[in-house]
Amino acid sequence: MSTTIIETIKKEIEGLDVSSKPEEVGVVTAVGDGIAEIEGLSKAQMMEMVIFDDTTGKSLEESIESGDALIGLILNLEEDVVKVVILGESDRVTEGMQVKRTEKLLSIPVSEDIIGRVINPLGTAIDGKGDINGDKDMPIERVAYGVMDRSSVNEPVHTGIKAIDSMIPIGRGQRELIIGDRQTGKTTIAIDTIINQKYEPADKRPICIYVAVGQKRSKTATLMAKLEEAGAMEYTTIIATSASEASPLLFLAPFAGMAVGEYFMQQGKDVLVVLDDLSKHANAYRQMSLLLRRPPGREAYPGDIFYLHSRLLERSAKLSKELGGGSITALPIIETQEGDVSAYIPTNVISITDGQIFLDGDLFNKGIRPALDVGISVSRVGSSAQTKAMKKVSGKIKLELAQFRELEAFMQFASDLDADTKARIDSGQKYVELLKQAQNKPVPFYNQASVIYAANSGLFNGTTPENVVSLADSFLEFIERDRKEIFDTIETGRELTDEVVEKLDKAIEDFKESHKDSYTA
Amino acid sequence: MKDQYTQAVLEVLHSGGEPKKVLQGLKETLAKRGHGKLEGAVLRSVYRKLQSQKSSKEAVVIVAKDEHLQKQKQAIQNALKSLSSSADYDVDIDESIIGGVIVRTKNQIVDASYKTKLVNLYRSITK
Repeated sequence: MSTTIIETIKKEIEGLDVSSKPEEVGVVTAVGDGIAEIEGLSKAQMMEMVIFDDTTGKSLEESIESGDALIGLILNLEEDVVKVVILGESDRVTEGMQVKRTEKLLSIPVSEDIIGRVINPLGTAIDGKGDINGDKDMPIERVAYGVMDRSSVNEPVHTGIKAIDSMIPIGRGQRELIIGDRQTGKTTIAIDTIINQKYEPADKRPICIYVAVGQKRSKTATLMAKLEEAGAMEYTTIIATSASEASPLLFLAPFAGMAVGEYFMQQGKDVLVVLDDLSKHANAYRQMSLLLRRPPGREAYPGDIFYLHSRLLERSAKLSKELGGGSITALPIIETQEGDVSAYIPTNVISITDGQIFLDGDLFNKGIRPALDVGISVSRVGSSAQTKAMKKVSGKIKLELAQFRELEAFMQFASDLDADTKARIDSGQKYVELLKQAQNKPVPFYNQASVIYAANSGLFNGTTPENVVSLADSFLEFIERDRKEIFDTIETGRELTDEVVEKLDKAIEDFKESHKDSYTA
Repeated sequence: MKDQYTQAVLEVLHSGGEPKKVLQGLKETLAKRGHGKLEGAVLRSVYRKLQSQKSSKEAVVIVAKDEHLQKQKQAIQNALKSLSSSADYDVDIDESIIGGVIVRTKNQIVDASYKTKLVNLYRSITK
C-alpha cells in the first residue's frame, strides 16, 4: 500500500509544473449566505469555475490544514462585479480574499468507473469506496443537440410496470414526467424502472443514473440498498445531494446527471436518467436566485425557471446513427400539493416533457398501486417505440378501462343495471386488478404481453376480480414452468406471431382446465 | 448610502482635498447624519476604488527574502513581460511563500511561489 502511495507521490513530483503563467485575479468585496461578490474578474465567463485563494498570508502548514481548494461558480455577471456561489464551506471565504479564474466552465470528471458508485454533483465519490478517476471532463451546462443530430424515438424503455408499458409506453430518448402528491409512489416507479433494466440484454441495457435532489440521506441509502439487493447497482450511478447541503449543489445535481448521461450517450449507449425531484430543484434555484438578488417572479421563482428546466430536459435525446445512436431517456419527478397540477412548476414541466404519468393519492389509498390515473396520464411519443407484442395487446385494455371509468360512477346502483353494463364494469374491475403490482417487483415485457393477452382472451371470465391477481401469477408460473418457449419467443421476436398466439391460446385453455376450482364464480 | 458617501469622498479627494482633512470631515458628517456605522464600509470602499484606479500595469513583486530578488531576476523579468508590465515594480517580502516569486499587477498574477506549488501538489495527492 505504502509503495503505491510513494509511487503516486513520485509521479506527481516528477510531473510538477514549476513554470507559471499569468492568471486573472479578483478580490472578494462581500460575502454572505454562500454568495461572494468579486471585483476585478473583468473577463470572467458565466458558469466558469473560480478558486478562492485562502492561503495568502498563511504558512504552508496552515494552508494545507485549511482543506481542499475552495471552488466557486460564476452565476451573475454585473457591471463592476461578478457574483459567485461558493461550492463548499463558505465560512472559509473572507472579504479581501484573492480569487483566481480557472478559465474552465464547470465540469464533472466521468469514466466507466463511475458506474455502481454514489457521487456528488462535482464528481467526488461519497460512498466510501475510494476515488473515481475521470477520463473525460463533461461540461455541466451545454447546449442540447440540434434537430439534425437526432433521430426519432423508436426503441422502448420497459419499466416493468404493466400499466405503464401497456398504456403509457416510454421510448428511449423520451422525457416522461412522473407527477403526484407526496407518498403516492413516484420514486417507486422510477426505481422499479431501473430494476427492470436487468431483464434487458446486456448490450442493450441502459445505464441508469439516479439523481437525488435534496433528498434525505436515509432515503438515498435505503434506495441504494434496494438497488444493490436487486443487482441493479451494476449498471447504476447515484448522484446524491441531501436536504442539508447548500442550494448550489442541489441546483447542479440534475445537470451533473445529464452530463454523466451524455458521456455514455456519446459512446452510443442508452442512458436512463431519473431526476428526483424537480420541485426541490426549483426551490433550490429560487433560493439561490434570491440570494443573487435576481428579481423574483411568480411564486418568487426567478423569471428563467422555465428556461432552466427546458434546457435541462432538452438534453435528453435519441442521437442519429451518425452520432452513434445513443440516447438519454429522462424521468423527471414533480411533487404536487393536494393534487394541484396547475401550479407553476408542474405546468411548466408538463409542457416541457413528452408526457406524464400522474399518480393519484385517492387511488393509492384505495389500494390501487401503482396509483396511476390512466385518464390524465399520457405518453406522446412512446407508442411508436412500443414492441409489436405490447402494441397488439394494449389496444383492448385502454378501451376497456376507458369504458370502465365512464361506468364506474354507476357501480353503486349495481342491482338496477342491465347485463351489458354489469359485464363491462366487471371486466373493468378485473383489468384494474390485473394492473396492480407490488413495489420493486417489475415484470418483464414478455410476461406482461402474455398475461394481458390472456386477460383479453377471457382468462378471467367466470372468476371474481379478487381472484385476478393470484390467477395471473399462477398463469405466468404455469407458462414459465411448462411452456417456457412462449416467453423465449416473445423475448427474442418482440411480437405475438400467429404461432405464439396459437400456443398462448392452447396454454390458456390448459390452464383453465387445470384450475377449474378458481372458475366457479 | 455607502456608494453615495464613497463617491462624495472620491470627488473631494480628486478636487485636491487634503486626505487627512477629508477623512475627518467624513467622520463628522457620518456622525452628524446618524450614519456612523457606515464609516468602516465607506473607508474600505474608498480604498478599493483608489486601488482600482491605479494603473493596471503597476506591478508588485513578492519574494520570501530580500536576497531572493537577485536569484529570481530572470523569473521576474519573464513574469513582467508576460503581464505586459513595465520594468518598474514595488517589492514586498512575505516569508510564508517559502521561495520562488509572485508577480502581481492589478488584475493579473504570476504565482511561481514554492508554497503554492507545494499546496497544489498536496491537494492533488490527497484528493
